[in-house]
Amino acid sequence: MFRLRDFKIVFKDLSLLLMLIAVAMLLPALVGLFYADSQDALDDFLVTAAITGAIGAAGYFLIGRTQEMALKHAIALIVLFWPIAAFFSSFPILTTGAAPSFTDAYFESMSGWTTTGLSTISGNVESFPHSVNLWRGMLQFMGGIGVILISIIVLAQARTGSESISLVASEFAIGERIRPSIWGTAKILMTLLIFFLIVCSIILLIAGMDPFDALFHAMTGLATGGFSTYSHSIAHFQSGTIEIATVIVMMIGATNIAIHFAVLSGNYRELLFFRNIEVRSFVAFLLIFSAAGAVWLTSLTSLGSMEAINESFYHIVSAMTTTGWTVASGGDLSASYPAVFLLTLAVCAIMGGHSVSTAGGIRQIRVALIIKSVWWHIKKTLLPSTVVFPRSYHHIVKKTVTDSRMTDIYVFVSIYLLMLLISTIVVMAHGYPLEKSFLESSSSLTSLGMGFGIASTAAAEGVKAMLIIDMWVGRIEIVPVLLFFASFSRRFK
Amino acid sequence: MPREPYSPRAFVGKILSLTSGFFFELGFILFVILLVLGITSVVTFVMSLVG
Repeated sequence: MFRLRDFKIVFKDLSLLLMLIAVAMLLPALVGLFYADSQDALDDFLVTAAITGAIGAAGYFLIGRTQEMALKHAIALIVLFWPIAAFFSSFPILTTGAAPSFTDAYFESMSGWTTTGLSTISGNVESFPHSVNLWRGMLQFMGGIGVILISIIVLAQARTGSESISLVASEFAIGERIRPSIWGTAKILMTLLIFFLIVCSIILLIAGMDPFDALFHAMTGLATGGFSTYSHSIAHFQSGTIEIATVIVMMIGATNIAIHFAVLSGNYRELLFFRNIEVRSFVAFLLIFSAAGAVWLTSLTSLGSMEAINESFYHIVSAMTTTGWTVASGGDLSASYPAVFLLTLAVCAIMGGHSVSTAGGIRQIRVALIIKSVWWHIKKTLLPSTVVFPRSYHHIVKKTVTDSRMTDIYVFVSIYLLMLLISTIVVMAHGYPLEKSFLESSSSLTSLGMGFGIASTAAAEGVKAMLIIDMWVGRIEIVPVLLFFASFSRRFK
Repeated sequence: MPREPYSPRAFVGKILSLTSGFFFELGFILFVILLVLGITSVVTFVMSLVG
């Protein structure tokens, strides 16, 4: 049960993270100076950094010594970090005038931290100062790294057996320790992500982007966030080379970190012959939906074959990696594409990218195991009861699937789909049609971020609030939120 | 456990391993892109004939 002393433990760590966010705010101020942004914009960042840092420092030093972190503290930290970080990060977006209201600024900030990319203000993004745009990109990159790092470090610090946190840690690296020590794993992860940031920036630079755009899109692409410095997203560039380069960046971002580590360490077998279960699953669905999408776009729109193939492939990759970049000429995809293709994008996003990556959705490992479990069930039913067959898959090493693991997966998927249903109903209750409500809700919950015509400055506050909640709970995979609120109950003393 | 002494040869070896690993990964991603685009094109063409 959560008591006052438990809050002290959680808020001490939150205070530390606030101080780090305050330091991070100084970088956009410096870049703004370089690009000659207005003095007001620079002041906004400096003042916000000072206030955030002061609050963080006050909290950290006033709280004093605390006990060791337990599982309930780790869960509380993961749950509370996102809304609090988004709150402080929204002020530069609001005070510089990029967002017309606090709700829109908070929406943008939450969309950044959760690497969703959905925006109510993206129509004016070209007019934002460089400092604000860099901050938007940094929010997504920090959010992408943060979700992996916080979970490894925080959950590992919590004194508990790994089985009891399997639900919470389902996306996180507890099963993916790359080094024997957690700090060793965290160091490797940071090195990998910085390495990929540099490499992806170079790839985008070579493809034809200018340096600022290359760095920005490398940050948001690796984080599979999808923010862009242009209101028409990647369509602005009108370049096949840039489209291919952004596909590469998205696929790197949505790949399991453990696979990256294995391949970069020389274990090429992980990718050869699609040995890895998540790689196999991801490519199979990419193939099926790209082909189906191209056929639908050819037959149901006025697009030519080549355009249909190109746009289908790009958007399916964007949806499966839950990045959200688009190459459609209009901002509202629901105006450009038929309903069957939009539904396909939503389904791809719900399936999502690899586990232990920056992508969202249910994740390929769960999707693949659900499909395998259907086959195992068929075998179990048709074969004699005395026959024992292995239930295993390959991911770096051969792994066995237990009934407990499958139960965790089914519970998670059930909760996820229930959350999607609730969100759809809430949005519909504000007068929006079923199709758009479902698409926008799935776009928020899965961290996809593609706009389907609802998220805008003119949207009702209740709709924005629901989508903000979707982004928040979707990023942390819902279950930690349930566990957090349950921890207040006397039943779990 | 004592840290290994710094070795320039080992460092260069690590950089080469990292670089070759990255290019392998990049090659795999490009292969997947070509595979998917190729099969998608074939399917679209076949369906246009049937359709």
